[in-house]
Amino acid sequence: MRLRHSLITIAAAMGLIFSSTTAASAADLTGSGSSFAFKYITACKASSGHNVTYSSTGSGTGRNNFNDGVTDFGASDAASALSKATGKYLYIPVVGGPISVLYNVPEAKTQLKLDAPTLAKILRGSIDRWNDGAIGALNPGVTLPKKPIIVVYRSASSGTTENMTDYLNKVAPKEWPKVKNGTFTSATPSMPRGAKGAANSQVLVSTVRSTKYSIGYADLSDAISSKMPFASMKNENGEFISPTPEAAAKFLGDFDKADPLTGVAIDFTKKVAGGYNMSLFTYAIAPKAGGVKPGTNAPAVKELVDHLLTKCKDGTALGYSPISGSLLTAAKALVDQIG
Amino acid sequence: MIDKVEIQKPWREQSPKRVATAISPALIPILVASILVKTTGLDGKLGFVFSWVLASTVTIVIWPVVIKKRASRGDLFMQTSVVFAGGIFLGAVAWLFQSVLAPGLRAFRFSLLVKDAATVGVDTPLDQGGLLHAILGSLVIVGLATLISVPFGILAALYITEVRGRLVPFTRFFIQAMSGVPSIVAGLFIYAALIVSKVLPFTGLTGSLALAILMLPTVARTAEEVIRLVPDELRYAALALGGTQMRTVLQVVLPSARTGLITATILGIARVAGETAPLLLTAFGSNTTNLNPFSGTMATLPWYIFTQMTLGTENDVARAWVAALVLMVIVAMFFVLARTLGKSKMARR
Repeated sequence: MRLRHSLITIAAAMGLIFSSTTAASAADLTGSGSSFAFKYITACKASSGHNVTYSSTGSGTGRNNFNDGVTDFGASDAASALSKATGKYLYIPVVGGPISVLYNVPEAKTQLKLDAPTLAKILRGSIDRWNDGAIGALNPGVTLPKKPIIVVYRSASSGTTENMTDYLNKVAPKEWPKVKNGTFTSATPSMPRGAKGAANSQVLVSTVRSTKYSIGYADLSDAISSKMPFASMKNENGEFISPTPEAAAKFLGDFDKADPLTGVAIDFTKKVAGGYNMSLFTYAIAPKAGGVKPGTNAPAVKELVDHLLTKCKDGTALGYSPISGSLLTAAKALVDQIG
Repeated sequence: MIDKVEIQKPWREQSPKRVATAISPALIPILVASILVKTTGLDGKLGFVFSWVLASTVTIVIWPVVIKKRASRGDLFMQTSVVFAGGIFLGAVAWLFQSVLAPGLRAFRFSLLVKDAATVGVDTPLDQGGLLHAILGSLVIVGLATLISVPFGILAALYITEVRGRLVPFTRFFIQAMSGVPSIVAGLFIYAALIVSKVLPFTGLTGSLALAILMLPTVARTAEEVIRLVPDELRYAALALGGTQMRTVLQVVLPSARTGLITATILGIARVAGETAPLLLTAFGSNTTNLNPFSGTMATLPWYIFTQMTLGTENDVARAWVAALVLMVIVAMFFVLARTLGKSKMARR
């Protein structure tokens, strides 16, 4: 008797669990990738009308997950080819932003100024002390301590690393002769001594915050919330520009073609007055009509990408630059191909 | 009824003076360390801990020598060591509780327990949204993992202790090997075997399966130990009364080991309740309440803590602390429940 009673109770409980599951008017979407865009997607997902779960894994893992077909969408700061999904996917630029160089030097009371050759030398370890002449020449009147520089880098494959090394290679080819690579240890001509690895942007920022005399690179959004200072960078016009959503938008606004497979070709050496050249686009990876996961949630992904591209206004305050002008038109044309 | 026998303590009653001589070597180092920190260049918590440990070690060795009575030196040395070790342990536990409870309680609001995160973005004020989805998700996933692993664990234990078949050494070997599997590997296994190969999408069920892999060896090993404690005489009696082996196991062995089996289950739950890594790869996480483990992704408390910490803004980190507090309370509740369930049965006998 008692056994039968408990069986009935269990059956009733199971029934309750299944019946209370909400009817799916909003789709469940899963995505992973770029930690650069983590805050942007998290801020926008509530207003997208769908139940979006986004995991900040780094662009490389995000591309792999989409390639394996285990996520509905991906986000990546670099548009690299996906092997299993050949031709059946789209890279759509949804938001841009500056890569900020943040540092932890208690003695520096004013914003530090850097240029591409100096940054390249710091990141490859050939400038290894804060009081080096090259940094001093850019920052007259600032006394920096004779402490070793601790470089904090992204340990996994990262779109931020890929874009930054591309920038350094194009703007300062003599100091940074190696071509772009998403993995810092492969990208740098030589590893700086005592460098520390960090799993994603958020970890990198907190590592810089807790390590005195360290320097690192991350999206502006995470740099802002950490309240760590970030350097202004010399652009090709010879101006020192602080990384702001506006300055990044000024530079990124000069490019207007978006290829569905290779993304936007950014010319980092372009002279744009008031522009911050070390900027990047984050791409949403979405299935193309007849793609990897036919029929699965594609309409919802389409609505989400459209939302990220045009309707979500939370970006600028968080440190992201919205897509505008003719690139927006090009990106919208790509959204129409999602299916 | 058995007559109550007055137990006579073979050791001496403690006089206040003896208690003082035993406790003061634990207090003296604290005094010494405080003076050192105040007067010398050593400062901060680290300086205090360093000088305290140093002073304690010296006192433990010297104190018994200073005390005149030769005979009680060894005794005193042991006493001070025990007080010292116990103090360190209690201090660590208190510190742990304090550091989780304080920020958790500061940010705690009742509304956090009854709302999910459907409308929560980045750095949303604490009065909006909550972590209901993560609490329910954790309960469903861990509950399902328990339903999967406990029967298998107990059956494996019964095979080893009751059936005693030819495969006992292998079973035991594999259970031991499984208990050494790192949690991320269990997650990767489910991810590769079920998710990438498109057998199942990310669901609560895949999360439960990954956790079940981790729970199984804990449950099986503990269950084996407690079933072994059931006296053989009970089994002989049952068999002598004409019971089959099945009846003996179901009606004699398992009921006698009931309390221990509940402990085995609870130990299994405690093993997996805080797992983050396998769930990142399998249950994936979610912002809304999902009670169906067979469709849709699911949030869990450890996942929630991890993601909110990663966001790093003030309100998001505060949410993570509240989630840590809730997780600790839930695990504590399970332990209390297990103890009362075990005790009430014993009292009735």
